[in-house]
Amino acid sequence: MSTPIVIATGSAVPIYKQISDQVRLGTASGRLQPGEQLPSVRALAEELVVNVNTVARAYSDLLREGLVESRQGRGVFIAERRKIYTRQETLRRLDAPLRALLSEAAALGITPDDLREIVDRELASLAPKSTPSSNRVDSKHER
Amino acid sequence: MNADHVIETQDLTRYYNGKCVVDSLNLQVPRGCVFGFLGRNGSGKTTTIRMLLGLVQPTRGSSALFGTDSTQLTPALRARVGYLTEEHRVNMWMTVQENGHFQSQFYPQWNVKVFQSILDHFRLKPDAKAKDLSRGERAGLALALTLAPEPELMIMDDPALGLDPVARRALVESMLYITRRQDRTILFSTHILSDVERVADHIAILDQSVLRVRCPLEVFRERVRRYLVRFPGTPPDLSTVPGVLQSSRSNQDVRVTCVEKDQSVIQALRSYHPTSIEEVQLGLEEAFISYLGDRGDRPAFLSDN
Amino acid sequence: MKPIFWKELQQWWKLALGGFLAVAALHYSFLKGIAFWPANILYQSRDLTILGYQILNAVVAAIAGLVLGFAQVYPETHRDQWAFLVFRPLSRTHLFLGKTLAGLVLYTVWAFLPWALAVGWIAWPGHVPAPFEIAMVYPGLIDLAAGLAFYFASMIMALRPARWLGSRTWPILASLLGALILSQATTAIGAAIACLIGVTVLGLTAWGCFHQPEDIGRRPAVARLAFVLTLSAGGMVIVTFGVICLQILSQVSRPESEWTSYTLRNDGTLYKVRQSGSQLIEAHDLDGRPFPFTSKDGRIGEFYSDMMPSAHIYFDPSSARQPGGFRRRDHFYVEVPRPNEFGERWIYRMSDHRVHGYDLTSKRHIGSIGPKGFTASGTEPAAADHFDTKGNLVLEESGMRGYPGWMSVLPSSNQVFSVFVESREVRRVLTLDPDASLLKTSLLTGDQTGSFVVHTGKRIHIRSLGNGDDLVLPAPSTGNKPDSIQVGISKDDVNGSVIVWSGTPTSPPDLSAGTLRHYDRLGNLISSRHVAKIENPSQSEPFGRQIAVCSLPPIIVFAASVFEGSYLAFENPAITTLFCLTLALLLVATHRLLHQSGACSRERLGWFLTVLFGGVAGVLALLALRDDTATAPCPHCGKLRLLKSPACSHCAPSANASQRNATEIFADLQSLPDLKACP
Repeated sequence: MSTPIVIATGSAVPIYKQISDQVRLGTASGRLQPGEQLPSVRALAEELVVNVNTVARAYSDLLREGLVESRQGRGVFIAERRKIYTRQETLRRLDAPLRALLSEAAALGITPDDLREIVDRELASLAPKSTPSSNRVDSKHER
Repeated sequence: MNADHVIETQDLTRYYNGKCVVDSLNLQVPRGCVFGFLGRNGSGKTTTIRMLLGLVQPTRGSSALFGTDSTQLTPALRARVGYLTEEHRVNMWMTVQENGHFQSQFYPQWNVKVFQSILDHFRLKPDAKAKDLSRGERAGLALALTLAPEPELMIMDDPALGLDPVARRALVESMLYITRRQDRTILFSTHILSDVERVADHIAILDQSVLRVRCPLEVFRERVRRYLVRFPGTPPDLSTVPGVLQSSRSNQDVRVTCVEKDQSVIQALRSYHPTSIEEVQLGLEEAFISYLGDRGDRPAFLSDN
Repeated sequence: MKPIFWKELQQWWKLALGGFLAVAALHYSFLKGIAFWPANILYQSRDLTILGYQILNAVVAAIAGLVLGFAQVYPETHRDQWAFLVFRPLSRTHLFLGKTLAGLVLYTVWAFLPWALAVGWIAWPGHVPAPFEIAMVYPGLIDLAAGLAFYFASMIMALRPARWLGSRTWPILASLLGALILSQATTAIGAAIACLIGVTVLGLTAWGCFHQPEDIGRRPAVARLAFVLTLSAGGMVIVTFGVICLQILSQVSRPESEWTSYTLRNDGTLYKVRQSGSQLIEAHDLDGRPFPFTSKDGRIGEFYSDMMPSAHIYFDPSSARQPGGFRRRDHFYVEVPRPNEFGERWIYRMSDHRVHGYDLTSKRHIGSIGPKGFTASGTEPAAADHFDTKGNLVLEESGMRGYPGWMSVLPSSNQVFSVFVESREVRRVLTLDPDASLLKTSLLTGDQTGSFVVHTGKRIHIRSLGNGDDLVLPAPSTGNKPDSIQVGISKDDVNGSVIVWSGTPTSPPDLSAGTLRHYDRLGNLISSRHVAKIENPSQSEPFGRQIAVCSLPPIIVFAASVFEGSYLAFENPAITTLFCLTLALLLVATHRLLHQSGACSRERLGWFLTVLFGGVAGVLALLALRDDTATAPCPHCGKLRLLKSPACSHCAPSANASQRNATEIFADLQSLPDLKACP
């Protein structure tokens, strides 16, 4: 694998989530190409010195999201980026977290302008290739 | 007694000098899991472990390993259990090799490769006298002695006590090695939460002789939360809200650490009409310290006023 | 078990070897007579019959046992070390056996081997001028076996987490008691059985403690019984020791009491002497004439300087010569304390009833003498050629004028012989009449004439080797039984008269009313006089009664005073109060101890009976055996509650429910992620 995964104990983020987050980040940033093989659960657990169940949970989450796929007898590979959902489905899936974000922001008293700034900042912290070209909103926030 | 539970206790209780050190413990450890046994010093963990192994008689209640009562363990059952003592005890007057030879005669399933590889891992020479070894080296020897028979159940009482970080890492790696086979179970008590984070599936927390937590590690992490609650004026005392572990007040806000189940705490907090409620991310150690620390409304430790 | 056995050997062989060397050095120094042994232990031959040597062996055995038992166990009693030892696929019993068998081997090397080597050396002809019989090793063997009792006792002491000042050392006391019993045993079989019982009881106790160091109730029943016996023995030792201390203390305060006794002086006069402590107060003869003391001080020396040489022939049961216990030298042979001038040592052997001689330079056997004469070493004497003393052996040195060396008086059926060892001669000195039976003989002590007295039932023969004459007097008797007598030959009479002072058949003359008869040298009765018995006030200790009332079990005290009446009689209100106080104290102590241990009513009854029948020892046993962790104060009501039961019996059930609150997290394991999907 081209990019090593690292984990840190004592973090607020559980270890399994650190692993799956890094894989997500890797695929989104392009460091992990579709078709690339991830280490086996055992191998990664051994390398990171963590419980296999932790790695297994991370992988199983990724599997469920469709970010990786398992090929029988050969291992776990980054899945082809394909549109699993229709545009409508995608937007629908975004709906709940979006509403949660907006209501929380309102409860906390964050103005819409502040909110846009925050969102832009977060998007910008991802690598340039993170957003699909068709959904690019604002090029001036590119790094 | 569930056959799937490698360890099971029923109202296990022990008194010492009239004081209750383990109070009605009900614990089940399923096969194949790595079980972290946590608690402050003196909360009863070592006593519990000794009772599980049949070394100490409970005052009340019972415990069972592999479905057999702990006080009736047969030699054949003990062959399936490995016990690593807190002080990493071995035969001090023997050399490393002699210790291994002695121990191997009791276990027909002794795996020499495992023994040797752990020795190599800790860099132990076969002719070294056990009493000349450092604490970490002796821990490695004790570990090798208990792991070589490849026991189905491994019970370790504070195995990382007194070990330097390198030795501790070797210990964790050895523990993970055991878990490679799915029918092997580990129960270990420790204070080192980073190790718990790495290896444990399940944890149990003993708080002053009473069991207060027994759940998967992730559940504990999810449920123990900290909120930063802001108020327009002087903040009220929130420590009496059910589920709240601690609260600490400063000028206009309260840091509330609580055990959340089904959002009940945050609902209760909202009823005080705060300006805002923000969740603060907690690491495992922070969550643990809050859980076992002093309850209630606490001022900052050693404050100025 | 084998790995444990070898591990123990490997661990402790150096200790055993060191012990072996030390003990071998001790044996060597003793056998070679190296200077530091006290002179009075150095009899002419350093053989196995020397009591000091037996004591040495017994002490070595005890120390070896104590050290080994402790060493094998104590270092491993630390909690985690113990766990490392016992949490193994090995039963506790096998573990115990492995340790014990190894301990046996180590003990053999330490204590038995040096002794066996010494025995071998002693048995080799030419090393020790004394006979060697297999029976001589029995005391040593039994004492060595008894060392194992100390081994187990030490083990128990190391295992049991009791208080050092409390009952932890009691097993050692129990083995000391056993050792004491062994030292007083008279037969080898009896001692062996006692030893076997002791070692077994302590061994079972040690096994039980190994099984369960803390919880007595979970030990095997046999081990529990053995444990109770062990601790009771230890408790008894403490009580006895306490009583002895009290008695010694009470004796210190006792005033000197007076007593009166009879004494025969050399002029044949019987005096009645009154003494107090070491002061002689006065002396009167039977007619009331006082003794003419010449000074005020030194009266005792003046009076006792000229006593009449006499022979004592007593028939009271207490003076019967006991067969020497299996440890004693006179069980095997009798000797004269000093060697003769020729560098030879002569003894009378009980095994073949002959007189044997040993050369002190070559240490070799010279030969033996029987009634028919001397047989040199190597030749087998005729089977019937032996003396027949029937326990009447008299072996004394005489130093008689004209007869160098020593002589002995050896009865044999109806003849009396004298043996002259330098010339290897046997001489018959007396033949009894057919109707006479040889009852007893006695040498006249305190004179230089070499006279002796033979009692033949109806007559007394007084024989002096000096002039060869035989004076025969009628033997006083009461009914059919001969009286105990004291025979003396007084010197002051011009002709020298013979005095026979007789008592009763079962009591010597100075302890009973009797008769004093004077005879002349030809055997004619000159005078006869009745002598009254002296009654001395009884020597009871001043606080004997008080001590007995406090230390003996209440039942016995009560029964003794009700039935006997005399010694512990309750007419004295002070004694009665003391008894009631003691009883009350015992009962209160018992009740408090039982209350704390939460015993059931059946056990309580048993303990109360034990205390009534055992007294202070019973309370001590209860102290040692009770389980004081069984109860604790309840946090709610403060009263003692039995910890084994789930709820406090004094509180309402609701108070016992443990508090649960909303901060507890109990959840079960969710199903593990399916690892088959991810290799």
